[in-house]
Amino acid sequence: MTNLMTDTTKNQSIDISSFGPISLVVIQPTSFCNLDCDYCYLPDRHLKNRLSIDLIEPIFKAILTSPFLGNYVDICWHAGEPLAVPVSFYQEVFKQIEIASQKYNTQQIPICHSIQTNGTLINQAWCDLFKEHNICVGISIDGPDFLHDIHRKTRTGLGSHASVMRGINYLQKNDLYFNIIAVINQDSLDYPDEIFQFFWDNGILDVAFNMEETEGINQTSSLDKAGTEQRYQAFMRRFWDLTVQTNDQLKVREFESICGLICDDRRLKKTDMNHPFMIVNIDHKGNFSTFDPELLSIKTEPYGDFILGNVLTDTFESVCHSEKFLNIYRDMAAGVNLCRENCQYFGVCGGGAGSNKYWENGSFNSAQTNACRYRIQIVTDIVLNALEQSFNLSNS
Amino acid sequence: MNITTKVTCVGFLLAISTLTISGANATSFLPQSESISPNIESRLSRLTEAMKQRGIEPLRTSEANEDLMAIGWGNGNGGGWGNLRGGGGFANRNGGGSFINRNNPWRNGGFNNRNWGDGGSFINRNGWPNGGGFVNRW
Repeated sequence: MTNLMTDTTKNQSIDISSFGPISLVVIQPTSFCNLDCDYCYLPDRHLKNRLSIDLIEPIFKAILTSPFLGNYVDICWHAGEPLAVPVSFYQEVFKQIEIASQKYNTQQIPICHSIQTNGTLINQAWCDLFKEHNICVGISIDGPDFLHDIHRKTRTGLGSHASVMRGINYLQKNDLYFNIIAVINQDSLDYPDEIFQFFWDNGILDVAFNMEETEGINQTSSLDKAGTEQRYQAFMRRFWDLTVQTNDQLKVREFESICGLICDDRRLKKTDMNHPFMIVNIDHKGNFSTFDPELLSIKTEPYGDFILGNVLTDTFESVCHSEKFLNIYRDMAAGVNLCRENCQYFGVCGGGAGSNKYWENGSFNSAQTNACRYRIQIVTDIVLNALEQSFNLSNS
Repeated sequence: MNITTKVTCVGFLLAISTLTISGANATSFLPQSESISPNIESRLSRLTEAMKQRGIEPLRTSEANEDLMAIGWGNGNGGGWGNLRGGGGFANRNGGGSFINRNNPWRNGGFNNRNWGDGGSFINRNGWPNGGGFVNRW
């Protein structure tokens, strides 16, 4: 791994030339969320902080003049419910981005936008905005109502499923492509058929599963219970069988990723969450961090907060020699090395996410987590077993 | 070979698995599975080799030796997991060429037009602009 091998143990100057390229910038338009999901990791989701329009130019100046910039940049509006601010907010934001681009985007790097939303507030006006600005929409929905509404509730305790479906219907009526993230928790594991059928019946054909993780203020995961791993295996195995039966119509991210590596005969060496400045996270005050977006709004015992600088006063590269960054980076790199040296799944994982390592193991400088087991190892085993059967390799 | 249009890697691999091993490749080396729990790397390689035996070469580009990065978190504005330096995803499928046209995965237009199986050759794997990475974005 290029620069993660750098010896930072003596706080010596480091070579930052291999950092980046920035592939994703997560910007927090507001810390507020209109839902109060019980597994959410965000601590300030009740606060109606809003990104100042005046910060757009410095944010995009920092991005577009950074030596870490690659040949495109994705902007994801997230980290709070991004539609909890009005449509007019984004209309003004996009105007300001255009102005900033004219000044700083000298290489005319494509800037693309996405929104990861709970979907409850989508209406025609939002759809018009998505169309106008080619905004990619990701919706969070955990399957049918009887599963979704257990955890994804309004602040008054009502289920949000009907509202999300209303939003999805708007997207579908407007012929807007969307994908979904479904969180798998203890309640989901007995219902692969019902979850699948819900997606299928509603034309939801691009699915990603996230595990409920121990993270941020979600101090425990329901998946930590004894016996869960076997149930999770059964869930994913059943979902594989159901997916295969769709004759190529349903895409499940977890299966696609491993199959993609086989098709291309490639292996992973790192992830965007453990390599510096592939992801940049910017909060509503203009504070920024890198690595996992989940880290930005969190304070932890050994590392303090993860704010590395502010776009009003710092550049991304200027913070790379700070003691705070070096402490984080050193442990992150050491943790990835541990994975590389000790885990046979490294080539299909790339060393995982520091946030999982911190919240499960207490340090970035650690290896396997439950998140690894669920997200990578179990899925890989299921996919390989199935493919080996298909290719008649099981008994060779 | 007759493989109908495929949009997913899962469907693609399963379709390949139904192909007959070509005569020219029938004798090519296919590592035997280790008698006691073969490791993940050898199992991955055996599957790729089995693919090649059926006349399907993996995508190989000049980038084959670059540091591949899993892009796990990002929705990638249409990348999801399926791309590298072209829009998110952690299955790293940048570049193009080979028999599956996976060029320019999603840069060619808006997010409804992020196909990367853009015609040509015999398999089209259209866009898979999935959302979200594997870390909690809910």
